[in-house]
Amino acid sequence: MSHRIGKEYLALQKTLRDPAYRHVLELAPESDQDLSRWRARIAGPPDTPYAGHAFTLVIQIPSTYPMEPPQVRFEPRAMPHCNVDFDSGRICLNILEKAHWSPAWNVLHVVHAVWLLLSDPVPDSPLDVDLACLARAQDTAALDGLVRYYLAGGSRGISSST
Amino acid sequence: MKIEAKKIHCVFAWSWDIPGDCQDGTQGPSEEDVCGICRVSYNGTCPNCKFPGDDCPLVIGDCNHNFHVHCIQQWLDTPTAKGLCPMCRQLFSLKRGVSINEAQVEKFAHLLMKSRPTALTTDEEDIMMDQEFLVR
Repeated sequence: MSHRIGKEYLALQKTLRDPAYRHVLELAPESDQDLSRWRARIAGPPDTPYAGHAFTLVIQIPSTYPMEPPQVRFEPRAMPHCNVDFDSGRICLNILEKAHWSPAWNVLHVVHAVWLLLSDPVPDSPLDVDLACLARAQDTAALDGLVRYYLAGGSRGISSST
Repeated sequence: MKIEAKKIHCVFAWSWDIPGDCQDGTQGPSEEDVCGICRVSYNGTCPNCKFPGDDCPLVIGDCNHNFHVHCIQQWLDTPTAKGLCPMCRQLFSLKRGVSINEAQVEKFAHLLMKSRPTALTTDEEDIMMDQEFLVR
C-alpha cells in the first residue's frame, strides 16, 4: 500500500478549505487506522434538482492505488441519475475505470468528477435507463421532475437523502 | 573583539540536475516539485525506497514531466497505462541528452517497446483531429 493516500489525507485538511471545493462537505477515511475506506459528502450542484440535498459517497482505495483507481459509489438507493445504478449506487464514469485512470489524479479529483457528473449527465452510457431516456429526449422538465420526486422519497422507496 | 573558531561543521545539500528547459513552470527547481505519481519530492524517494539519490533516481520525460524511475516504471508496467505519461497522456519517453536519464535509457527502451499500444496510429489521428477542432 502506497504512502500516497496518507499524503493525500494530510493535504486535504488544507485543500478542502479552498472555496473551489466548497461542494465537498466532507472527505475523510472512516477511521485513521484504515486509510483504505473513505467516505465523502457532496452537496447537490446549484441549478440542478439535486440542489439542497447532500449525498454520501463510499470510497474504497485498492492496495494497488494509485496505479489503479479508487472504487467509488453512492449509497444504495440514494442517487437517481442516468449514470448511477439506483439500487447499488454504482457510478458509470470513465475516470473510475482502469483503462482511463491516471495515477496523477487523487481522491479529491475523483469526488469532484462525480460532483460534475451530477450537473452533466451522459445519457449515452446509462445505468438508469428510465432517466437516460428522458435525458436523451432532452425532456428536462420531466427528468428534473422525476429526480425531484425520487429525492423527495417518491415511490422508488428513497429514504431522505439530506 | 576576537573570535576564535573552535569547530567547523561542513553541511552540504544536493538535488537532481534538472535542466532549466525541463521545468514545468518558469522558476528553477524547488522543494515544491513532487513526483506526479507518489507526490514525494523529486529529491526524496519513491514509497518503496529508503535512500534518496542513486538508489531511487529521477527521470525526465520528453514531455517535461518528471518521476521517480520506480514510480513511472511501475505505472508503465500496468497494462492500462498504455505507455502514456500520467500527467499529459502523451506516449512517455525519456528526454534525450539529459545526463540523469542516461543510466535508465536501456531499461526504458525495453519497457516502452512492451507497452506501446498497437492501435497507435488511429489514436494519434484522433488526438490530432481533436486539436484541430479546438483551434477552430
